[in-house]
Amino acid sequence: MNGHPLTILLVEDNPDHAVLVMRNLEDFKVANKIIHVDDGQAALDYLYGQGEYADRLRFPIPNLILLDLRLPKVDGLEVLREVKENAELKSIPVVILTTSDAERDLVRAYEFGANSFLTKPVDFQEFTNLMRDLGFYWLAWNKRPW
Amino acid sequence: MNTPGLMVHIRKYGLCLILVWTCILAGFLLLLVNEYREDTITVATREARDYHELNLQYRRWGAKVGGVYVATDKVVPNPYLTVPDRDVTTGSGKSLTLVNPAYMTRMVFEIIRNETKHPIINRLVSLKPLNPANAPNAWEQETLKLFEKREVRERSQVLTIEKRPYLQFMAAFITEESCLKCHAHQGYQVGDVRGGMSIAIPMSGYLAIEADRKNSLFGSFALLWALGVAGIAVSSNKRHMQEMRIVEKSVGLEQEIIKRQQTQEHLEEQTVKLEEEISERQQIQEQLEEQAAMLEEETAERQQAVQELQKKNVDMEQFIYTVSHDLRTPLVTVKNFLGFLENDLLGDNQKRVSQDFQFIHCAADKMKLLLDELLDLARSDHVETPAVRISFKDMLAEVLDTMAGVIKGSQVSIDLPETDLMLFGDRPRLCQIWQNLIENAIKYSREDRIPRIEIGVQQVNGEPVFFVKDNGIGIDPHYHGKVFKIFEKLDPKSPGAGMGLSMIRRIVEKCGGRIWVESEGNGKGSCFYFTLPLAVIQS
Repeated sequence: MNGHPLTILLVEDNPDHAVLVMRNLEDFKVANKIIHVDDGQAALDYLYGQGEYADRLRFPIPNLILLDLRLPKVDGLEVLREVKENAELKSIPVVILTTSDAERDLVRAYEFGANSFLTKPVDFQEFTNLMRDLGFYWLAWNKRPW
Repeated sequence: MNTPGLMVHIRKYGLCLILVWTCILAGFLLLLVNEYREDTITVATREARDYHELNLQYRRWGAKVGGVYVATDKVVPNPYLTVPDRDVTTGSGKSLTLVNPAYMTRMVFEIIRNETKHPIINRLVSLKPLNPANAPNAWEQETLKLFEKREVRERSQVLTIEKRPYLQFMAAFITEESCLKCHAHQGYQVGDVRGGMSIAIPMSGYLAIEADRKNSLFGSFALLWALGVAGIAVSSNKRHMQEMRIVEKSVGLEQEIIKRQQTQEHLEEQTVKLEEEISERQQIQEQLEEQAAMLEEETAERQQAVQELQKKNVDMEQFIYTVSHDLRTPLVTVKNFLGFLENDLLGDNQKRVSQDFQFIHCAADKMKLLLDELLDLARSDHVETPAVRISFKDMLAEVLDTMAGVIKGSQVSIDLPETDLMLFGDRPRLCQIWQNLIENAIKYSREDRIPRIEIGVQQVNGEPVFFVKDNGIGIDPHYHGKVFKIFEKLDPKSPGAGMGLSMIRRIVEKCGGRIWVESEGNGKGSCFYFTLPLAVIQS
């Protein structure tokens, strides 16, 4: 809450879940801007400011990336690896938000430098609480360099 | 050769030699005995001839002188002498009588006869004797006849006289000039055979000498014979011994040969056994090799099975992961939008309520679709229908018939192949390949174009390669591998759960083939190629 506009990049292929996440985050008003892309390639294009995302004013570097793992075209883990290997992007906290709780995804996500790993709760209340806590934790309580 | 036979042979051989030796000696002995007898006779004959010659000379002398007058007190006058002046008286009154040669010799021989134990008999015999005492015996008569025929003038023979052996010798008595004085009156002429002088020489002395000689001859012959026999015996024995040795040696050799033959037979048996063993071992080795080959095959099969299992495991893991993810996804949606719905109903936010319901419906539909596709996938793996023969064209006709509604609705134009070939396999599964590909081609068609699908088969390196080509949205080359993965969707908004190509790939792989896609990129259309080696009957 330091006055800077806060942007969240939501990488989610499932439109329902995208709505679910955005509604929650909007309800808690933790972010100024939530940008949703529905595949890995779009996420990378956004982060690199390529193609339709070239305009940094409209599409600023996000303060938090919410990344689903199973994505069309480029996989979520691949997106994570590229972000964490990129000097400019690697400081962005990447929170994995996935439906699966497979052990191998968990392990590999942390190997690739994920900052957090969350499983979408089935229960509505849990989901809502998680979204609230997530927003506050990363965007309100967590100190960041910029 | 057996030993007793040889012994008999040797004995026979020795006996034969002895017999021959004996015959030779006996022959010689006989010859010598004959010789001795002839010698004896010759000597006796010579003596007789000597007597005869002496007698003859005396007679000749007596005849020549015309006889000799002898005092009558010494000699009785010869009564058979009939010549004048036979008896004369000398002037001194001595009475004398004429003794002719015959009378004289008779008297001489009478003295000889009286003085010796075995006297020499000498007499004149004639077929016409003057004196009867001069009559010939049978042999003399025979001889005299031979003389008269003038065949012989002398004859001798051993005869027995008065039980003693004598050599009787007879010589022809030829009339001479001097004889005629007394015998002219008998009509004899000079040269006539008047009779014969017969002289018998006693043989006992000669025979005794001959017997002595014969005895010593017999002795030496006996010795010679004995030596010969001994020699034969010794040499025969020696020969026998040698032959025995040869026999022994040959027996030894025969035994050796038998032994060697046995050894050879044994060796041959062993060779046969070894050969059998070798062939057995070869068979065993072949069996082992076969088994090794089978094991290798089995191992390879197992490795393949393991690889398949591993692949299935990976698939299964992927499947479970995907299912857990993809089934949870609508569940998360349903549950959460139900929560929103509750709040929105309480807050009476009608717009959100209808939105919430929409999300819930969509998620439920997605779940249904997902479950349907999962069931399809399970069927494609586990439900198999018996393989049948079907022509490519017939199969396509069947597929298009099934899809008639979809095809009509999308106004797609489909080019069918001109060439046909025979397929053999799980018919519904084979149909599914083309059905799914045609569905995909329609699903991912460009909105600005009339969808066009080309179905065909072409020979590449002698292998039929099937293809389904469309003029749809195409696939970025970057994702050509990813499209065949289970639940992978390039476009999240597209209908379906992302199992179609994954399922096709499974069917193709079951037919021993492979599937790949060629597309120049977005909007350029795509062409799916695949092979079905196990399902194509090569003509």
